[in-house]
Amino acid sequence: MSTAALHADSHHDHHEHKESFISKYVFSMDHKMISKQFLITGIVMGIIGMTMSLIFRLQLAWPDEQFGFMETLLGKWAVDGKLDPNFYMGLVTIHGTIMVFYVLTAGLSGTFSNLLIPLQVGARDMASPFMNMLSYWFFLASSITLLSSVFIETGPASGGWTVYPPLSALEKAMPGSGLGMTLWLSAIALFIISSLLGGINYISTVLNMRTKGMSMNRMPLTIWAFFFTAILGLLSFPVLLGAALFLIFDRSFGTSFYLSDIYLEGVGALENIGGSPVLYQHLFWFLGHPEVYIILMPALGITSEVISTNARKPIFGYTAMVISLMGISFLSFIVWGHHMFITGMNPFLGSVFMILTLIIAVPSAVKAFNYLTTLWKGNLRFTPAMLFSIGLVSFFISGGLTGIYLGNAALDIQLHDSYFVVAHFHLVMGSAAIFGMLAGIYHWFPKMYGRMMNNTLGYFHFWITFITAYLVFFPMHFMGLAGVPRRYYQFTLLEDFNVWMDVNKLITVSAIVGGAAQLLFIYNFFYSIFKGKKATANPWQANSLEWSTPVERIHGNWPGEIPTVYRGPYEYSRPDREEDFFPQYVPDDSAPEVLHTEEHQVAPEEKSPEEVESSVFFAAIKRVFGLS
Amino acid sequence: MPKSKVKDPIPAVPPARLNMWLFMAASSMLFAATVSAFIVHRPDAESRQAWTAFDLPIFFLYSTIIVVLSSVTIFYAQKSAKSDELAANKNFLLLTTVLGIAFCVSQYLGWQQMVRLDLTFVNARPEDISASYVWVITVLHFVHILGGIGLLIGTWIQAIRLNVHKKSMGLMTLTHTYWHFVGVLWIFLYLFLYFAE
Repeated sequence: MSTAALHADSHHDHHEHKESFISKYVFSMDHKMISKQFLITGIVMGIIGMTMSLIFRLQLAWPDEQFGFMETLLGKWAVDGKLDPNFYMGLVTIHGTIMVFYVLTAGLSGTFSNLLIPLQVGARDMASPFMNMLSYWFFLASSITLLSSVFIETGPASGGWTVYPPLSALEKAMPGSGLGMTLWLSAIALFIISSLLGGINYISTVLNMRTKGMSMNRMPLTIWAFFFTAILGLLSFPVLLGAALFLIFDRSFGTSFYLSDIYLEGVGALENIGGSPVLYQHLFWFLGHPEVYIILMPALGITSEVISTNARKPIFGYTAMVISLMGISFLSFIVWGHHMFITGMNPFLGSVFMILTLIIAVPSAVKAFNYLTTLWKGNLRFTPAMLFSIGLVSFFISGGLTGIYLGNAALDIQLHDSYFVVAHFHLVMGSAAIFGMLAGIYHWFPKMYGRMMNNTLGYFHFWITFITAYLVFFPMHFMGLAGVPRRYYQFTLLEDFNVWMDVNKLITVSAIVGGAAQLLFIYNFFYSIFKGKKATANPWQANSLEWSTPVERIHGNWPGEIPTVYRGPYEYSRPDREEDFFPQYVPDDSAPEVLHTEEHQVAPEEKSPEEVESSVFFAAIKRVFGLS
Repeated sequence: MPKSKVKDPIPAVPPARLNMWLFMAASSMLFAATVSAFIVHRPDAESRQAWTAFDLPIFFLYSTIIVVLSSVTIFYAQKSAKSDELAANKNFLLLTTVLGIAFCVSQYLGWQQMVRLDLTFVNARPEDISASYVWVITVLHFVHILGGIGLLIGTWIQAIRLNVHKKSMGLMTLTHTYWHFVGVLWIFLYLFLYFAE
């Protein structure tokens, strides 16, 4: 802490120091470079996670087929080209873990919180650039640890991404519960540290380092979303750490937190008595549910920004958007029980969790309607980022609706652990968040690399991905309603489910086509970094502060003074202006502030350091509530 | 970029201090999780005769007294630094560090006492799962104390180098805040375990 503290105090003096290759690209403390590191690591992890899903999709569609290339790729895990059942479980587990934590938590929040928080609130860098750098390196170490488990003799963790004990706690339960599980737990411990270091920085920067005039109610919705996301992470990841610690103790030390009365291989009960496996589920889902919003909210924030900019309209209901983010964040902490309806939970408790869960539909609907009303009669510009944002809204609605079904305890008893659940969360959280992330990449690529991505490739990428995502996940609803269980290696062995064979094939073919479309994106992304069309400073004619920085990256973001903010971020198409946008940093004495802002047009006066120091506490409180 | 000509806004709160508060919030959640696990697990295990309440070692009480004393000394260390009484500041920092180490010794003796009563981390008898919780909670807190002692020693070294005074309170304030945090945390944990066991 102390090193970080000292560094944070002194880093403002280092703007113009010479950067070596190592300090610029490797151990960088510049938030923009760290965001690129997160992004590229996230993309690599995404490719790996997606490839894993394609492999197990092949198994599901053609269970009796032999795929020669699989043996080449996987060796003993696919003898004669047939995927090993244990490795199938491993692939499912690692696919889930990678996508949830590594791509959609670190890859999404890590990338865009890092890039946008300092740029959009008007700060030279994060509160502690050193902690920020550590956050990335813990993340990379965690990624490597997780991936290394694929290469070991006994295979990776294979009890599903939720790693419920006793399956995950007993080495003898399945091959993946040996070293693979140990590596999984180590990877997650490193990941939690990374995410806490990052989260502390995000919150601290948003609260404390905003530029003159940037009161909380003038912050772009992206920043609000990252802010609440970071709070969720800060409060819920330590609980997962607790859950993981107890699991480590049960596995490696022989305690009985989760284990009790277990008979293994018919030789009698293990010594562990008194443990409660349901306790793990409580602790896990106390993180697990907020985690869903940790994944989704940054994507929602990005969508707000992109939709408003490209509809050339103020976002509909700015305050409602903030309050609904706040409501979702609060509710996300008290609904974890809806993942546990079938654990034998007291039905009264179940109904409490059910009601709370259904209440989430209210703020979610507010957001969905506000997106639609922002689009309504706007001067829409269909950039690839805009298309992906609209795609997100589509997934958010179609996936969100099934959440209302699953939130009902009585229905969930039927639908739990079926493909209906797979369909639900892949739409509402998986596809929606990925689309938010892609929208963010297309939109802020010019800010990151100073060049534009190719639009035509972007359109192909969008349409193929959008259509195939629905083709993959929509039919799964019907399979789930018919009772097809998830995570089965070959469910078609059960006579009743044989009818789903053709659907299975359709899903797999669509997944392969969708996967191939990502190659377009990857080509577009890497090609444009080096050869893309040079970007102008504000290519989308957007309002927020990041577009006031020079195209070329500068450590410290602005060459001169940090701009002052005069109004809210969504003042598009004002009738009193010739241009259809009015950046936050452009002063204009003749124009009254009509939208989203208080009557103060002049930025608040700067305080002397003594004054600041004397009222630190009140200043902090005031800033939290945007009163300054 | 000609840095000298540019005047950046000064953050309302020193960034390191805010980061410390956020770290403490996260850390509190870790303890909230372990304590909640204890609360949730207990009736379940009791119904299966797998839970025995026991008296906490007397050394944990001594630890509590030491922590209270060290809170007083760190308060005076902060106060003397604020009024530029550098010698007093150094002495109080050193005293707090010594009390911190005394706390560790006392905890160690408490754990020894538990081991003698067969209340080991890995249950000697299946019905002693409650002991495992006491171990996890006290050891996690111990790790936090070690961090605090590291901070205290760091601040003390800075004090010797005359880097802690009225106009340079950054590190001192961090240490002061953190030490109060681990102190209050221990008092809470002790009272919780005392009444729960």
